[in-house]
Amino acid sequence: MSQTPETLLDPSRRRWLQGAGVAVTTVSAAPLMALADPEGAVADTLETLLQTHYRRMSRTEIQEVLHRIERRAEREHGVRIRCQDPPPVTGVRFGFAVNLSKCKGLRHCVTACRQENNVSMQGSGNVRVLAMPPGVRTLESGEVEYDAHTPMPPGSWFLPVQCQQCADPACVRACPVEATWREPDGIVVIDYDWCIGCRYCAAACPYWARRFNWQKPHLSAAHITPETSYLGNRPRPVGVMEKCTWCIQRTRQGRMPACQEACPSGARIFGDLLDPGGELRHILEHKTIFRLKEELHTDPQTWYFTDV
Amino acid sequence: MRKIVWLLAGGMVVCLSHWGVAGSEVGVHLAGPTAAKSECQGCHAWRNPERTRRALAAPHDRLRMQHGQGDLWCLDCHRAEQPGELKTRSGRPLPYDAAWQLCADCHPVQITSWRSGIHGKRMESWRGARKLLHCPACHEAHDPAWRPPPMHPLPVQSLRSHP
Repeated sequence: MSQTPETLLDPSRRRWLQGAGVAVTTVSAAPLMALADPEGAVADTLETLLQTHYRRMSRTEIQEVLHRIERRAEREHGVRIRCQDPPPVTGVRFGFAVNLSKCKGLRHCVTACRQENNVSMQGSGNVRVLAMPPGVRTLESGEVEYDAHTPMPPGSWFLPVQCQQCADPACVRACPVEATWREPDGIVVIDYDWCIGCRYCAAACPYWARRFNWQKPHLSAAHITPETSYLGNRPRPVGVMEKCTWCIQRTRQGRMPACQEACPSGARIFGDLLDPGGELRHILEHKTIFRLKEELHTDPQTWYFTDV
Repeated sequence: MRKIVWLLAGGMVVCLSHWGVAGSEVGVHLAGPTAAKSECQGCHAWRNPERTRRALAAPHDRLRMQHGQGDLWCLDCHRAEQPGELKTRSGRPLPYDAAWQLCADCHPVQITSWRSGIHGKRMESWRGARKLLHCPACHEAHDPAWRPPPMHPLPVQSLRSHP
């Protein structure tokens, strides 16, 4: 068996040649790259490919990533956005409650969510409202395609559903690459740059809360929300999952989620579960509450109640 | 001397404005309109109202009075002596921005629920002092039924088709 010339080289000489090769490539490629890629698009794409998991990045690395996201948004969507990475609020566990007596199925939450979270114009958004037949509360019996003229039997009701931000989320268990996890403030997030798009999480979620970007998101420059965050509403690439994050970019800065703000009837209550004087604790202590598919033991952090 | 006068005046303004904020009693800031109807004030700022309970004729018929389905009339809630003020059922005078105390006379369940943050809607932030809309922001006092705004259409792609 003949030896290749490479293996004949002595180890030190081989190491030197390797090093020299890398150096020459780098030195010659850099100006070439600058010529061929004046906007840095290729460099940005390469760096995104080589980027590590969100939770392994240092603050400086994250800062670089945020700038890269801002550059990419300007290149691809023609909009100057600001991408931030607000940390979890310490000592806070977010929760949500929905007053079913108040929901009139007006879908203002659906529209507001799409707008705030830069959801593709071809996509459906991360909040859905189901028209439910009387006396039934299985999601599968709900009808999403109702309108103001749809005949509804007396006793019908509306059920708004989005990510329930489970404390033991089935989606997180299903993810083979740990691209999704639950943050300390209770919000289940996705690292869009780490997601491989296998859609196992969507199959695992019993609430249909996860959505796949089958196409590159269509966003119009006029309607993009420029205040974004890494784990939240920044423009997503094609082929990754997305979900409701309770508007992490807003709520971590003290604001209300867009759906709560848009709800004309005040059916949505968002707050801190650890605040003993808060609305959520009052509801949990004084109202008859239920959670969706509680028997699956996903421990959802969204509670439903009525005025009765 | 002039400084002291200014300070005193300033202090009085601050005290009065705080006294007027009825929301401090419920630990909330109130948001929304609080003023008296200007069309009433046009005449009743200087003209005493007729105190007999009656069906309102011109020029009052412009007012769409639906509250109480005919059982209520102006002076059940408005003070005859001071048209810029309301009064509770027991006759206690109330400024306009404390209207919720008057509402509580007949709707205690809703007011309790509102004070605990269930009825109505919390504004701006989930933390810090609660900022709630006050009753007339959603329920026009003379025609208080809440009317839902138009329904938004379903987004382009059906939400059910692709998760």
